[in-house]
Amino acid sequence: MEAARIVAVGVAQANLAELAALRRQKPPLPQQASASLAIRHADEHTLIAMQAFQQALRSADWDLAALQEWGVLVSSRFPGRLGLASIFHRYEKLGPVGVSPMFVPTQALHAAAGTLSVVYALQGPNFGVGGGQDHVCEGLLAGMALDADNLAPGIWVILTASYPNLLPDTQGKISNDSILHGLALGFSSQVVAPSLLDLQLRRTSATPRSAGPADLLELIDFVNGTRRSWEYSLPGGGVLELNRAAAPALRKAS
Amino acid sequence: MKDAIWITGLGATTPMGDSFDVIADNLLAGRSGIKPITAFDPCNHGSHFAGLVPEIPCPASYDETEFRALPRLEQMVAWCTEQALRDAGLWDGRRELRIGFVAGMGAEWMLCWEDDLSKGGNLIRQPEQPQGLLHRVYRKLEITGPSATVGAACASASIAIAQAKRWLELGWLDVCLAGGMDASVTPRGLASFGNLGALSKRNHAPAQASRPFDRGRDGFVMSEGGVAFVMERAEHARRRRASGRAHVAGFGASSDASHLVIPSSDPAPAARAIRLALANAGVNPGDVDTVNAHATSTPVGDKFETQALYVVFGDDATRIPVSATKSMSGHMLSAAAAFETLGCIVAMEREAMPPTINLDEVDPECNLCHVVGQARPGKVRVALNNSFGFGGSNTALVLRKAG
Repeated sequence: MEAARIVAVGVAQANLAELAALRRQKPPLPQQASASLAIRHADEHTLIAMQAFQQALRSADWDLAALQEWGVLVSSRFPGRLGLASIFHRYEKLGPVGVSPMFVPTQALHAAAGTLSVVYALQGPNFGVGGGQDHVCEGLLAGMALDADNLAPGIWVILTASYPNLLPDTQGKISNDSILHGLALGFSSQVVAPSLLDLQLRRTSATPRSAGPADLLELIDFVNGTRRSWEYSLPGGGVLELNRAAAPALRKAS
Repeated sequence: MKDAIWITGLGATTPMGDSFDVIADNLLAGRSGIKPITAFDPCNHGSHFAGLVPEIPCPASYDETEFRALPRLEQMVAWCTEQALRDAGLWDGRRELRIGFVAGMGAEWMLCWEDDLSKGGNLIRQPEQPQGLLHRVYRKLEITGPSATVGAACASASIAIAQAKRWLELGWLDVCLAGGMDASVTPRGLASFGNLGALSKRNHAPAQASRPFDRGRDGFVMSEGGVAFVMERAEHARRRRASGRAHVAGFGASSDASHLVIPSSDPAPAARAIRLALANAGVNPGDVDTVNAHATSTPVGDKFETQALYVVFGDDATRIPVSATKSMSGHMLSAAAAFETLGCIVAMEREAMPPTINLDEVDPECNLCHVVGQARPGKVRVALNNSFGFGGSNTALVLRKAG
C-alpha cells in the first residue's frame, strides 16, 4: 500500500512543575468558551499532547485557523491514572459526592482528543486510542486508517507517555519524578506541503514479532534524527515502518 | 471498486440477552432490560437502576472457575469474541487467518484498576502494569493480527467498526473483530455520571426511565454489555460460503469542537457526520429505510439529534422510521454503537423495526417518524446508526443488507 504522508512534526516534554504551569495557560482561541475549564481539569497526558501539537504548528509555521477541518486522535499510555486514584480516595472518604463530574469527560480514553478538538476548534473526527503499553503502534495504525478514510484534510496523531510511568500516592497525587513526552504527527495526503516522514505497514510473511511494545522515546529519537531507523514487527506478520521522506515533494490536494 | 465489507458473525452479552435471537425477540417485543442495581448499594446515588447483564456466559474454551475470576470487562470481551468467531463459522479455522481486533473500550484501564481495588488490590499504584486485556484474549483465542483499543466515549464502537472496515479495505487482515464493551455500572462510574446530572432519577419506575424523545425524559440510564462482530471482505466470505449479515457500507465522523460534555446547539457538525456516512456508502438520504438514533433520553441530546436529522433529511425526517433502542437497553456507553448496529441487523433480518418504548408524549421539539411502542413491520435495506460521544465526537454508520 501507499505510505501515509507526515507533513508536520512536533515534540514536547515537561516535568511536573512545567505541567502545572501548562494547566494555567490561556486558551489560544478566546471564542472557545469552554476551553479554560477543559484545560484546568485536563489529565497530564492531555497537557503534553497540547504542547506537542503547538510545537508542530510552530515548526510547520501553520496558522491554526487553516486547520479547523482536521481531525485528531491521541494515543496515550495509562491516561487518567492519577485522576482515578484521586477518585478512589475521595469516594472512600466522601462517598458518591466525592466524585468529580469532570472525571469521565477529562480522564477517559477519549478525553485528550476531545479536549484538543475543543481547545483548538478542530472539527474533523476525534477519538482516543491505546491506553496501555501498545499505545504507539495502536495510535499509528489507527492514524493511518483514519487518514485513509479521507474524512478530513488531515489527521493529527499524537502519542504521549510518561517516563517512568506516573505513580499516584494514596490520595491520587503524583508520588514519583516523571517526565511527560508527547509527539505530534500531522498526517495528510491532501495538504500541499513537503512530506517529512512516510509511514507504511509493509506486508511480510514470517516476521518475528518485536519483543515488547514499541517505545515512544525511540520513535522520538528517530524523529529528532538521533536514531537511524524505526520499525516495529506486528503480531501475525507485517512491519510498521517510518522513513524519512527522501526528497520532499509537493503533492496537490486530491 | 472496493470490495464490500460484511459482518458475518456476532457475539453479544447485554441486558437484552446473550444471543442474537433472544436480543431480537426482546427488542421487537419492546421489553426493557433496566433493573434495580443489586451488585452494590446505590442508595447514596441519585440513580438506583441500570441495564444489567445478570451473568456473562462462560465461553466454551474457558474453564468456568478461571472465567469467573476475570474482571467483568474481560469476561465480556472473551464471550463476545469467541461467540462471534463461532457464529461466523471461523472458530476451527481461526489459527490459519490473520485476525485483528479493534475494540471500542473507553475505560479499559479504569475498570481494570477499579476491579482490582474491589478485590483488595493496589494495582493502580504499582510501577509495573500488566499487558492489556486484548493480549490475554488473543492468547486465549489463539489468534494473531494487529489490534487497537479506541475510545470516543459513547461513539467508541462506531469508531471501532469504522477502523476495522478500513483495516480490511487496506488489506491488513483477512478478518477483523470489532465492537464495543463496557462495564461501567460501578459505584464510581455511577457517581461520576450522576454528579454530571446526566442520569435519570426515575427510581420508582426503572423500566420507564429511559424515554428518548419523550417530553418527560430526565436523563439517560447507564447500562453495561458488549457486542463483537466478525467483519471480512465479501469476496473472502463468499469464498468460504459464508453469508453476510450486513454490509458496513459507510462511515462518517466530525467534531462539535464546542464543549467536552454538552452537545452543540448547532446541528451542522452532527449533520456533517451523517452526510459523510451517506456519501461514503453511496446512498442518498431518500434511500434510508430506518434510523437507529443515538437518542440517549437526555433533554438536550435528543433535541439536537432531531435537528441534525432535519438538516440531512429535510421533510423526509417525518417519513423515515426512527427507533431509539436505548429506551429498552439503556445506554451501554462504549458498547452502545455496537448494540445499535445489532439493532439495525435485527431490523434487516426480521423485517421489522424495533420500537421506542416509554414514548408516551412526543416532545414537540423531537417530531420525527417514531416507531412508538410496537415494532413496525417493513423491509429494511439501508439503515443509519447515529452515535455521539463526550468530547463532541459525532459518528454515523450506514449499513446495507448484504448480498
